[in-house]
Formats: sequence, structure tokens, C-alpha cells
Amino acid sequence: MTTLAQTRRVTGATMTRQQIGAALKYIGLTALTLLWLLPIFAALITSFRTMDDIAINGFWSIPGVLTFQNFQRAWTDAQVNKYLLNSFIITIPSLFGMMFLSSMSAYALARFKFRGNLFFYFMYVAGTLLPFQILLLPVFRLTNALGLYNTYGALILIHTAFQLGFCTFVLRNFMRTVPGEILDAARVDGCGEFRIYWQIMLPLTLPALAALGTLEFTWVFNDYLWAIILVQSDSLRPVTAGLATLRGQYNTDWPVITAGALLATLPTLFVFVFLQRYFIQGLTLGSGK
Amino acid sequence: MAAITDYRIREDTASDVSGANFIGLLCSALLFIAFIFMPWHGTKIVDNAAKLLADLLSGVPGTQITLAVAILPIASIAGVALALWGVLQPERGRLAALLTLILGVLVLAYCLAVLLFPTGSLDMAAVGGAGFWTTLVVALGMVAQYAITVPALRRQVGLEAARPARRRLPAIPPKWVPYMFLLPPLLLYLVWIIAPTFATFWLSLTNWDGVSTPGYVGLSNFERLFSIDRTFREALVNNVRWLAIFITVPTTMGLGLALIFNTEMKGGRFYKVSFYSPLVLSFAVIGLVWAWLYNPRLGLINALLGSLGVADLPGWLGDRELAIWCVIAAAVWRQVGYVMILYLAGLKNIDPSLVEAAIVDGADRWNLFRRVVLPLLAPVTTVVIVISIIDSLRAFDLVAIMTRGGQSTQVLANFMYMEAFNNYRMGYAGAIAVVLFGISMVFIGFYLSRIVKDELEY
Repeated sequence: MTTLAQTRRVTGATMTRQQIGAALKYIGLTALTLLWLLPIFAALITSFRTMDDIAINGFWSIPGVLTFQNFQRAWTDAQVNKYLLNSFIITIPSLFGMMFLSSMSAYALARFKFRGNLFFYFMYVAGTLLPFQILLLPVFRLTNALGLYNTYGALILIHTAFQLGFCTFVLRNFMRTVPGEILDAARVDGCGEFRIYWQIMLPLTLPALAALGTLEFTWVFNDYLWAIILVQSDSLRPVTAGLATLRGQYNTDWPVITAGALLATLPTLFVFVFLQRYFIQGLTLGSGK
Repeated sequence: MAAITDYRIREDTASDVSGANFIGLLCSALLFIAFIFMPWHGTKIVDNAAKLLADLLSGVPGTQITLAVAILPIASIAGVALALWGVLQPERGRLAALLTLILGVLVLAYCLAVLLFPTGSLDMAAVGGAGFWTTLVVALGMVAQYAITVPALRRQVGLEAARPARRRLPAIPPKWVPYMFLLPPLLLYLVWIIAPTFATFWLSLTNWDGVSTPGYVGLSNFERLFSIDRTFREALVNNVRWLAIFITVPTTMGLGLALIFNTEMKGGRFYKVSFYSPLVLSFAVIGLVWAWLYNPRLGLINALLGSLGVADLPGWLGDRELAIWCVIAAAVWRQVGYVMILYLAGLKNIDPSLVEAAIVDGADRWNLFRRVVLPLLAPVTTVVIVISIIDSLRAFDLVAIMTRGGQSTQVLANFMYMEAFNNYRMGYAGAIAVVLFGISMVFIGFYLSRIVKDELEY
């Protein structure tokens, strides 16, 4: 009897302590999360206000006027629409190029035993980890020498090539998990190697391709370094480099700048909202090893 | 009986042939060294063929494809490849020796042509260099190595008849198939990634300004970098600061958040999403938004501090002491979610029975974490730390956008960019890139060795 009562009392005590702990956890987490979202919130609020309003009443005042004008100015006057289009023109072909090429090399590395297999694999992994500044000058020279400087092609080529390493790394490790019996069966039936790759391996790799593609989309889309080095004309600039230009133009007009920044985020935001699962998978795929 | 005899004889021939292949390997390697390192166009070591090749690749005016540049590197690499092939696959050794012979004849023909027509358009200047004489010797060696296979050939003659009829070859030999898949991406990768990596080493030894022909200046770029350049030291210190923060703050915070979110909780998804949402933003956007937060007069932070009655408001990005930490804070803001995702994935992979067993054994929460969960997460931790190191060495975008390297916020990557594209000291920038490469190579090497171990155990 006494033991039972004691037990009950002890459980009762822990229950309340747990509840308090849980409540504290929620309060702490909520505070931290709000702090984390503050920059995004600040950008949103700013983009709907006017600079005069902020200058006179201060940042934390209740907005006197809310306006869409900043978005309109960023979109048309500051040409964020054009920059975004450029970003797509650069990103989409790079994405297809790197997926196709890396799936080929991944297939070779994952499915065949040949001399140099591991060497090439390590070469791709090492290339992924390189600080890309080491490539900067020679690639700049090469682009110039080939007459590709200041073209979309220059950016498409370097993105395709630079991401090959990471994509090959991820896809190779994924393809290794595909059971070999399926491929062997096709081989026995007289299916050619390229057909096996194209009609059997690629469909089986689709989950990895989707995750990787989503991740790579945001990476290539968000690139800033190559954008400012290989392209000079304003009319060819992708949105990241365009934002830097926009900042120069609208030096202290922060509402327009933040509106431009938010507009520039829309495509990746779309990816984040609708393809979030793939995005997260992509991030973890790369570190699975 | 016959089969056994055959086998023995074939072993013999194989060893003979691979002897020839070894000589081929030696010669080809020597040819490569002669081509790259030996004086070619005169007596100075800098006038070598590698420089010619670099000039050619980078489009220096006045450089043209000479025969030496066209034939020798191809011959040397092909020779090494053939010899390795022969050594590793003894049954192909004879063919390898034969092809090496053809290469040798080609190189020899080139040498003779240079000797016989010194005034022609063939590289007449080449005769003066040690590189040329080495090449001549090597060519003779490549021809001579085939002689060793002759006795082997003779012994094999008797076996030809006994061999089973060969099956008809398929359209593409199966051995070539992986290479056909590998080659197209590999070519792109070699030209745009691997070759430029090496080219940077060459550029770092020159005084290239982006326009005129690069002149060889030895190690003077590095000397200047390490002895006089204050900005370099500042950048190095800032990179170290970045690294120190990156491997501690986002790592522990990400791990903590992952541990919290790993258990089912109400609204967990909302919290999680909030923390990793910065990951999809570009650095350009993050830089602009944070620069606005840091705005000394109107920005969110100082507006808040001001309304709280703080009189002496900091200048944040305008303050030489604070600026770099402000930039790093923005980077940390983005990184925490990344680390959290990686740890969440790692936690998901932990076998729950291990944790349950520990609980049954009476482990309290701290010990459970310290002695069970953390060791099981070790592989993830390695990845996280490597990623943090690489990311902090690559740090460029935020500095370029928020401060352009001013206010003592310079980092190596942005320093290099500014030297190259603002000051047109490309050679000097190359030296900075090489230093950056050297530092990251330490960590890449560490990570690679881990992967190599994994693969060999596989």
C-alpha cells in the first residue's frame, strides 16, 4: 500500500515537472523561432512601406501607408523581371546538362568494374570539395580564349562542369543500391548497355534525380560568384548579380531593395514550398556517406 | 598434360613481355618529365614546354601549336597508359609493346626531322635544350623495348594452333563500355575543373595582369603575400575566426535543435521549417537583408536598441571591430538549419533498440546522449565539420555583398577576387588561391582518406 501511494505521488510530481519542462521548451523554442524569422519578417515589412515613413517614424512604428509600389519599381524599373528570366535561362540547361552527364558517369562508376574506377570516383569527390576560387582565373581565361566571355554559355558550362562532381558522387552511391539482378536480367535478354542505362537505370534513379535536381536548382540559381565574373552586360546578368546592381542604383532606398530581394527569392521559395521533401532529401543524400 | 605445359609457357612469355612494358613505362614517364620540366626552347628552365602549353591554353598572343606541343604530351601519356595496360594485363602485353613501338618510331621521326631540317618550321630551337636530347634517348628506348618481346613471340608461335577459335567480337568490346559512359562527362570535367586547378599553380608564379603575356616571377608573389601584405594577414585571421565560429556555433545549435525535433512534438514541423528556411535564400538576398538590419540609423536592430534606451548605438557593419562578426552572424543564421537537417537524418538512422537498451540499463538522459547517441552520430559529425570547414574557407558572397571587404572584413576568397578583378593582379590572386587550396587540401585529404577507407571495406 505504502509503496503504491509513494509511486503515485512520485509519478504525480514528475508529471507536473514534465509539463513545466514542456511548457518551457515551447516558450524557448517559440522565442528562438521568432528571432530566427525576424530578418525575413523585417524584409517583408520594409518592402511594403516607404523610406520616408521609416525614416520619420522609425522601423518599429506602425506603418502609416502600405504600398505595392516598391515591388513594382523593383520588378520593372530595376529590371528584376529581366534578371529572373536570365537566371532561368542559365539554370535550366545547366540542370539538364549536369543531370544527364553525371548520371552517365555515375552509371559507369557504380555498375562496372574497370581500372581507374575508384580513382575517377575520388577525383569527382575531391573536385566537389575544392574551393572554387582555385578555378576562377584559368576558367576566366579559358572562357575568354573560347570567345564565351559575357554569354549565357559561359555560365551554363561552368555550372554544369562544377556540379558534375557532386552529382556524380550522389548518383553513384544511389545507383549502387539498385539491385544488380534487374540489370543482369536485361543484359541476358540482349539489351544494349545504353538502353539498360536509359530505360532501366534512369527510371530507377528518379527519386535521387528529383532530390538532387531540386537542390541543384537552388544552388545554381543562387550562385553569385560566377555570375559576376563571367558575365558583364547588364542584360545577361542573373538575379543574384542583378540584386547587387540594384543595390548600387537604389543606394539608400531600402524598401525597393528588399522588395527586389523578395522577388528574387520567389522561384526558390516556390521550390521550398512545393518541393521541400526533395530539397531536404537532396541535402541529406549528399552527406549519406 | 598439354594444358599445363601451355600454361607454363604462357607465364614465361608474360614475364618477358611485362619486362618490355616496364621499359616502356620508364621511357614514357621520362618523356613526360622531359617535356614538362626540362629546358626546351633554350637553356633556361622556364622556357619549357609546359609554359608553352599554358600560354597556348590561355590564349597568349604569339603562341602557336608547335609539333613538340602536339606530339610529345600525347605520346608520353599514351605510352604510360599502354605500359600500365600491358603490366596489369599480361595477356595484352604484346599488343601494348607493339603500340609503344609505334609511338617510339613517331617520336624518333620527330627528333630526326628536327635534326635534319634545323631551318624548317619544325621546332629548331628545341635542339638547344636538354629536353630534346632526353626525348631522343627516350624514343630509342621505346623502340628498343619491343626487342624483348621477340623471344616471347617465338615461343608463342607453337601455341597459336592449339588456341580455341575466338568468338566474334561484339560491335563495342565490353571493356570499353564503362569508358564510353565515363568519357563525355570526364572530358568536360577535365577541361573546366581539373586543368584549371593545375593552371592556377602556374599562374601563381607569374605577374599576369589580365591583358599582357604572363611573365614568370618565381615565388615572389608568395614572398610578398607572406612578408608584406597586411590585408592577407587580416583575411587569414578572419577566415580562422569564421572557421572557429562555424565549427562550434551552428554545429552545437543544429545538434541541439535536431535532438529536440527528433521527438514527436506539436507544431514541430513549423519550428523545423522556420529554422531551415534561410537555406533556400541566396547569399545575395541574405546579404542585402542583413545589411538592412544592421543599418546604423534606421535598421531593425538599432531601432530596437534605441527604443530600449541604449544611448551609444553600435555602427555594426561600419565598425571595424564588429563588422566581421556581423557578417559571420548572417552566415551562421543560414548554416544552423543545414546542420540541423543533417543531424535529423542521422538521428533517424539510429537503431531505436540501442537507445532502449541503454534506457533499460538505467542510463540517464545525459549519459544516453553522451555515451550512446553522440558516438552513433560520429559519421554525421565528421560530415558536418568538413562541410563547415569547406564553407568557411569558401566564404565569399556575404563579404562581397555586405562590406566588399572593407571595415576589416576581408576574407581570402574576396581578397583574391578583388586583387584579380579590381586591381588586375591576376598572378598575385593566383598565389592567394593556391594558399586557399593548400589549406583546404588538408581537410579534403582527411575527408577523402575516410571515404577511401569506406570504399575499400565495401
